[in-house]
Amino acid sequence: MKKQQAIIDISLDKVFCCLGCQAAHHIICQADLDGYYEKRSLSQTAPVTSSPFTQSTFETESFQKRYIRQVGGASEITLVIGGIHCAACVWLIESMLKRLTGVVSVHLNYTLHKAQVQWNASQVNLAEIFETIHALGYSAQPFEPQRHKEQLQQIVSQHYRHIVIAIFCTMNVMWIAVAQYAGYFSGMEQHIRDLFRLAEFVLVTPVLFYCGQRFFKGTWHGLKSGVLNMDFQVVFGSTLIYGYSLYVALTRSGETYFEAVAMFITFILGGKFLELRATQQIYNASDAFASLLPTEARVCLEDGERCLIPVESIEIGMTLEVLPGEQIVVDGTVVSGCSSVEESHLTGESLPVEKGEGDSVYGGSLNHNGVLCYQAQRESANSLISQIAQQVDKTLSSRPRIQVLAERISQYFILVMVGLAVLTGALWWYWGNSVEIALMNAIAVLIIGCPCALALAAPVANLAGVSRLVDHGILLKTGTQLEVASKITDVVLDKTGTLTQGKPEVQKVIWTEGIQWEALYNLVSRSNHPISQAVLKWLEAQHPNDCIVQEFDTFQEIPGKGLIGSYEAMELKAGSMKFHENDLWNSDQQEFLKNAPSSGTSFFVYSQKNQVVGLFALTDSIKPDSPEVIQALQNRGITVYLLTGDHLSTATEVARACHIEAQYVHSEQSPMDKEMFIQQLQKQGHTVIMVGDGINDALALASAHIGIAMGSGTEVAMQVSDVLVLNNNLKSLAVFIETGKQTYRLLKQNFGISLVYNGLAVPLAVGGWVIPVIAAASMSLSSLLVVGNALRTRLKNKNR
Amino acid sequence: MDILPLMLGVSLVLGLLGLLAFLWGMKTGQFDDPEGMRQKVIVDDEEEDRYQAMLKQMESD
Repeated sequence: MKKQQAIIDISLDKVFCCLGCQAAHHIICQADLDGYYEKRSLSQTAPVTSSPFTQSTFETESFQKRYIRQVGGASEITLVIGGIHCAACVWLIESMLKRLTGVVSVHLNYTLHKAQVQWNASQVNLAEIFETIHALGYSAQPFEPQRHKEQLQQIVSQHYRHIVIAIFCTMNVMWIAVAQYAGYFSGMEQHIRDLFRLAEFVLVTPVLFYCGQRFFKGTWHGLKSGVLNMDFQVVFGSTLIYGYSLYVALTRSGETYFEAVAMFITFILGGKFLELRATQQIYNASDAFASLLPTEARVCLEDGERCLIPVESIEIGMTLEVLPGEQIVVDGTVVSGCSSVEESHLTGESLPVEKGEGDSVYGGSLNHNGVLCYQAQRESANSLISQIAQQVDKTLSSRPRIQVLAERISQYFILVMVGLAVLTGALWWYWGNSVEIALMNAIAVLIIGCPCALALAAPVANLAGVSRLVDHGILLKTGTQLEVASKITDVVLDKTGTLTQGKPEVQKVIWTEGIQWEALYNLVSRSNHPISQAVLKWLEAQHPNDCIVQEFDTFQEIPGKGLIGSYEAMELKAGSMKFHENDLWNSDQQEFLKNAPSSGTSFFVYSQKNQVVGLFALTDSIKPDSPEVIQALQNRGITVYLLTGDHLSTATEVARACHIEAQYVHSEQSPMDKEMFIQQLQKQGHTVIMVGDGINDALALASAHIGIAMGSGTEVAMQVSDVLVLNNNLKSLAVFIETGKQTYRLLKQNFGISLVYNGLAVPLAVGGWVIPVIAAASMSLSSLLVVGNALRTRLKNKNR
Repeated sequence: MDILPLMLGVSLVLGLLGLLAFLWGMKTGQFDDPEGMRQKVIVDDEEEDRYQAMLKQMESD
């Protein structure tokens, strides 16, 4: 925590940590909402500071088209609010926004932190709404619900409907069935039996055909590709039982099994529903990271003015301007100005690159501290990131899939069951019984063999695995892919942001007597450059007592060079080596420079009165867990590769520290190179996991068998990956693979249980001893065993 | 036993009413915000009422 002077407001008799909180307090009290301070739970929060939006942003056509909807005469937008930490914040924002004249309605979702705001454009504009949220200390970002997320939402609500109706019908069928069971033993009048059967028929028909429609659709898709999948099993079994029961009810010639159909469908819908909820979690998590790709660009006009145009209208040759903190919009060449640009997401290069006249810049990279004017060399659609985005869709659709255990088993199971049924029927008939009895027993075999447990085995086992992953901060999109993790042979790792922290850290420092840490602190705390921030962090850790805010006489940040200021008649300079070319160096410092590793190291020089007094060496440091995790993977017999867009020298160093041999290291890889490498491995029959975080990893992530993205990474990477690691810890990779193996074991156990169970129950059917009670009981019992087994594993994991 | 069909029918219809109410609740988005459901119980509209009263007073002045 920074030690800053607190702001004491004498008139109110209150102490504030910073001006932002004081301003927020003023607004809140004016609006008579100071109940906020009693309602809230936390008391130490810092307000959000920066906002990249201005009214001009909101007025561009592309923004309006993308984010603003017209609903009944008012404009509507959905915003993601940042900085919320309790319910009181939600209440505060809602109440405050409602007070603005012109705001028609505000609905803030407590769970997702999304606000739906409707306003009358003639009375208030969007900028005022944003400003209000800001003044309270929160951030707002416009939210564009992506198509696939909307579709998922629709699928989930549809599934909710199906399962609720199925449960309703099944529970009612059950209490009718109880009466029927009683009647089986004590005798029942025919017309009452008919009544019950009619009631069950009315209840079960919608369950099978409306709630079970996904199984029919799935069977159809499977048959079209020539596969007897699990859906086919479900449809075959349940339709057969339904049809048979209908026949029996109409001809009054035996026992009906309507309740078995209802139970069967409902159980399996339940399993699928739990799986779907797990998927929904991951989509909600990636909303919070929704980043903004620039929608408009600033054009430099001939008369020196600037004008905003939508990104789509950029033509080659236009001169564009980018301010500190903004994203460069399109690939181009620098015409004037100089600045540091963050390209790690695009090229993997870990330190910001200095850009000056004549240098190339890429769309999507982040401009740090200077103003650049650059000439567009490509149109927006052709810039590197757009190309990657387009290619990603193609790669995703041709991604290889490994057939999971459930699919393999289900293919044989149904054939075996049908064979047994036919055999049973034939045997009974052969031994002198009527065709009807033979048929009945054949059908009894199919009923008992109905794969309720089998169909539940996989969803439930996957769910146990997914829950365990969630506990470790790992989100998995498709539960069925979990067992693929157990078959992994190769792991491909990205360097920057995956193996390393992704930003520079101070590694070594030397300083001379007479260095004033306080002065240095005040210099670096005024700069947003990653290197300045890294030095700041070091200072706060090593010299916390010197971190006191002081006033400077002069201060200036020179982009591309460093910081300059004067304080108490002392001239201070901090920054790059070149900046201090003409200062006084001593021999110790020169030794330091010579001995520091040459690759990937940045130097930060600090001088007082033109004499160098402090020298910092910074590199992008390796995450502490990385070597351990890689060792563990190699011990399991997995081959580990390092693919990076950065230079060979930095790559080799990182690889050495992580125990990856040189032959497995590839540097200066373009996004396309990475994709090709993975596809080559796959052609050789390997099962590959890719771990990455940048835009330049997206193609590789999309083509690997399993793609794992770091939570701090880019949105593209997270979208194409199957797995999201929220805590950015590489250890999660080891946890993921281990959970995959565990799940595979659990799956085999569950399938074993259901098959054994069927093996015991089927002879009963063959022998003609199946009555409705036994059929229903066996179905429930086998399902309970399978679910119980998964729960047992889950409980065991919770104690780890 | 002639009452049986009537009993069955009535029970199912009553249950159906409950189901329809639940489905309606889902359709109007009442279950989308579980955290909000919990927190909104605590919130009373004291401030809101005061504010509305203040507005009314300003208008009548």
